[in-house]
Amino acid sequence: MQSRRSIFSFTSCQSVSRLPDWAGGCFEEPADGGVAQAMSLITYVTRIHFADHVLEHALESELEALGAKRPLVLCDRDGARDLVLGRLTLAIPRSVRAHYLTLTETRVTREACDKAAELYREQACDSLIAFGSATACDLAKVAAIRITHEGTLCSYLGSEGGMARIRNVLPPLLAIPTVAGAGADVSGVAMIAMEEGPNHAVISPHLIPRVVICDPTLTLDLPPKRTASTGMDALTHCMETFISSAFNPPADGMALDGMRRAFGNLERAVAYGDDLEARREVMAAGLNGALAQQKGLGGVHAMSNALCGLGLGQSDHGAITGVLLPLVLEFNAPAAEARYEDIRRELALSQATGVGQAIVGLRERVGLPDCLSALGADAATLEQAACFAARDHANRTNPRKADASDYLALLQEAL
Amino acid sequence: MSTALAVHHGPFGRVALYNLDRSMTLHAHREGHLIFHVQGPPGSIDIEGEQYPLEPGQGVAVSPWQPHNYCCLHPGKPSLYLTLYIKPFWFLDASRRASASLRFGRSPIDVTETINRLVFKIAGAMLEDADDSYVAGYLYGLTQESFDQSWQWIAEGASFTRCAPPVRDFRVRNAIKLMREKVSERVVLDRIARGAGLSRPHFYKLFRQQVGITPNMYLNTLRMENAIDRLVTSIDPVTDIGLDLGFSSQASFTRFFIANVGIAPSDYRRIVHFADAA
Repeated sequence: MQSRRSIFSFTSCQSVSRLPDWAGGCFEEPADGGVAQAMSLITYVTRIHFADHVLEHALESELEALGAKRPLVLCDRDGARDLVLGRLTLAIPRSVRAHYLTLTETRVTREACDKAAELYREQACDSLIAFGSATACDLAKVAAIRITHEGTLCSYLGSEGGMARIRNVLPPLLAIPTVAGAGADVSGVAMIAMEEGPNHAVISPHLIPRVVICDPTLTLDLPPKRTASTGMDALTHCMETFISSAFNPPADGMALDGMRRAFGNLERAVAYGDDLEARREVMAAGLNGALAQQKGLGGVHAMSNALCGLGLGQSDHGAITGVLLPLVLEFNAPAAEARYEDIRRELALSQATGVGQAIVGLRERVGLPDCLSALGADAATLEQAACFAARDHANRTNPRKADASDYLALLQEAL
Repeated sequence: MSTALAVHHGPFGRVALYNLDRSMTLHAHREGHLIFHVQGPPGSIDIEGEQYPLEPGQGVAVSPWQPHNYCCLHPGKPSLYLTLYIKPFWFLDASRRASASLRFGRSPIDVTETINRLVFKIAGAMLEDADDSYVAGYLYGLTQESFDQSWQWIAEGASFTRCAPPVRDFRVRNAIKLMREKVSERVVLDRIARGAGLSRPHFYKLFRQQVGITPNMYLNTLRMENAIDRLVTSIDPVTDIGLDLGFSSQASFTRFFIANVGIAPSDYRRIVHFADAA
């Protein structure tokens, strides 16, 4: 394991492969190798650098380790901020020739993906760098499929059984987040907007970036509004995964730790943008939430994915989650109340304070809106959004079974 | 006469489109089992004494080794079902549960829009002989969708399926081992019981306690698996396969096969398709 100057360079590989079945294993035949997927119940394999100013130190050696001579850098608006993009340009070693593509939209479209793939081929690139927030990372993942796989993008969507068809031939991907709440850096999922309808997920373990460089100093110039919404997103990832219906103890641990860091430091990071300690804590929370996400999300993300697919809140996913989280917590209470006690303890809330109430308080303090209409949602789209939400893959692990009518009620309440 | 429109075997296990017009006998599988109504009159499944409807909007999940049987409510009128037998190990990574890798939380599965779409996609792909990776991908999605739903809390009652105890008794383990070794011979359970050092009644009681099903049913499962395996991997005549499994005639073997699998062994062999490893 190379450990250069990062606080930690963490390469862990855990996999709980075969849990005993109720027959104590005595019915099981030996593993027959008939496993179509490379993942297991719990999978943590990403190499992550996390330190102040680590970008300049880690980039050169990681590019070398990946054999990347001609990376294509994919930026979104969070990566295109002068200060951070300037740092990246300077950090790329002279022997490496990078090409840049900046995505102006806030969601990944098929056109953007084709454009990236075309540039990649044209310039004979050999690797991808995602620079910015989840959008850049999603674009890089989808472009990687476009570059190496034949046929239409449609046939690789998770909803079309595409997971089985994505092969381990993708170019190496290095992710560098410049916001705190990014979740795409360590996941094997990418969201893409098709022409009509909801956003679609592309899912494969091969999509997980090979290396992530988390440098909290890259978030120092993030405006307060973006800080608040990405931080709220991080907190939501932690809470949703913690109460989700799946089993993943390491994810639970990370989620609890992450929610404490986010809850305790977000306000400071928003108010005092140059407070490096608060920035570091919130970025750590973002990383925790992102790693924990493999356990599965829930209703908040089912609805925010749906709204995003309908064109609302492409720019403000975090603000939407902030509106929805307290409502979903209340809806899920009959199924997950026991877990709320753990959350209360972790956040050191008094007995009288509900978890949802605490979120509402934080939301006010960081200046995020308290209703969807403030974000431009319109009552006419809610029915459609509720249907999309019921279909969303995040709905599968919501602790309480929710259908379109449940989501419609929640969305109407949130409006 | 029940028939099959398509049967696919693959790394995932088995998936079949059965047109059933008669009830089946009580049996169990080591695979996770999902059944969805595609067309025809509704039917139902009896799982451990409880009836669950199989109709548009309502599918059924059966956990590995849960005894169940299909009940035809309109004999003679066929109903088409998409029937999945998913190998737990294939599905392992998605199960995300600490209990048995493919034990469902609840038997009834609401056919949501997503599930309905996947059911018809799989049925369509099987009938059209589409690229195998499509079938595998959709199967994965369908199993995961159903599995996760079965563990979500619902207002009507959060009663999840009980957790059967693990087989701890070494005598029962020995008996299971003996049955596995002797499945291709004429197995006499008395001899198995004796081999395990138990009297016949004690053996039956202990086996049920520890495994959850009777030794006969367990043996039937082994026979069924063995029969399917030989039908699809060998060219041995059906009669020989039946005789080797201890049946006195082809007719009795065929009856057994129809009652446990749904269709006749010769039909099964004719229709099976091997999916490439996805």
